[in-house]
Parts: sequence; C-alpha cells; structure tokens
Amino acid sequence: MEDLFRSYWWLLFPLAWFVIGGWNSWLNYRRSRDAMDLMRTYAAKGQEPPPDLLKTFSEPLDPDSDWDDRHSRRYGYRGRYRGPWQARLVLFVALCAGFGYAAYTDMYGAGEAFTIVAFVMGAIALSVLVGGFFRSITPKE
Amino acid sequence: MAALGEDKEMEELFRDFWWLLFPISWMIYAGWTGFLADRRRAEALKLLRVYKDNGQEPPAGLARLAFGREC
Repeated sequence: MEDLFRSYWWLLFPLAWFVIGGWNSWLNYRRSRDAMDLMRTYAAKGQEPPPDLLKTFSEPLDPDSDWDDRHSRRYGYRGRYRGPWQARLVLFVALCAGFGYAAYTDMYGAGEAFTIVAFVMGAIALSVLVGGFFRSITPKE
Repeated sequence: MAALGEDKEMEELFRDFWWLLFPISWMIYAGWTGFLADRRRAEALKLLRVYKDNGQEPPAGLARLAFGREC
C-alpha cells in the first residue's frame, strides 16, 4: 500500500480538483436557490426585491449582464477571477513546458506522472487558445 | 497468504487501470453539475409561476435560467 501511495500520490491533486469543483457547484446552487426563495417572498407580497438581491441573483446566471461591467469583465462565471485569456494561455503553456521537461528528464523518477500532467496542461492551453480565438472573433451583443 | 496474494492482484489491477479514475471522476462530476443545473431550472420555473400568478414582470435573467434563452 505504501508503495502504491508513493507511486500515485500526485493523483490526490486532480481528484481533489473534482471534489472541490463539485462542492463549489453545490454552493453556487445553494446561493441561487436561497436568492430565489427570498425573491419568492417579495413576489408573493407584490413588492419589488431590493436591487442588491437582484445583483446576487443575476451574477451566476448571466455573467455578461451589465449589472456591473467592471465586475463582469474581471470575473468569469461563478465570480472567479480569470483574467485575460492570453494570460491564462501563457500560464498553461508554461506549465505544459515545465511538466514536459520534467517528464523528458524523468525528474524524481516520476516521468510517467509528469507526462500525464503535461498532456492535461497542454489540453487546457489548447482549449484556452480556441476559446479565446472564437471569443475574439464573435461580435459582442 | 491468500489475502496477501489478493492484495497484490488488486494493486496490479490499480497500476494497470489507474487512469480510469479520470473519466470516471469526470462522469460523476458532470452528472452532479447536471443534476444541480436541473434543480436550479426547476426552482426558477417555480419562481416564474409566482410572478405569473401575481401578474408581475419577472426580473431579467430568470427566464433565461428556466428555459436556457430569453422569452
């Protein structure tokens, strides 16, 4: 078992990413559900909900809405800071190159693991590039 | 001794198929987020019904959440 853990300890990182992603999705769902519950109370009384509640409510639903343009431009879906896509592209290309080098030189004797990580980083970089390209040629509504 | 052999077999199996953890985790993750998106749409529909029953205009974004597009 100890041998197995020594060989595959790095699996904890990608698996933790899935767990954290699932947890964040749950929290996002809870936030919008609570906002909708509160809006239901206002709607039942025939009252206008406060603007701040509408902001909280629309944020995860319509990230490109103009409720706060500065916020929308700086933060992507789920309110997470993402920055310009070119910066993300550079980050993932650099990570891919770094892990690729580690795989090539069999750093720490874990070349196999580094190969997988380099592939994942390369795939994410490619996805950022394609996404950024199509976003840049799509006219804004 | 037999248990030790079984442990070795399980370890070998894991070493051969550890990569399956990625697609399996992704499927579980996608199923979970899909389930939450469905629940959110159902909640939005309920809220739309309240607005409709009261004859009020629903806020922007609610219809998009419920139907995936503007109405």
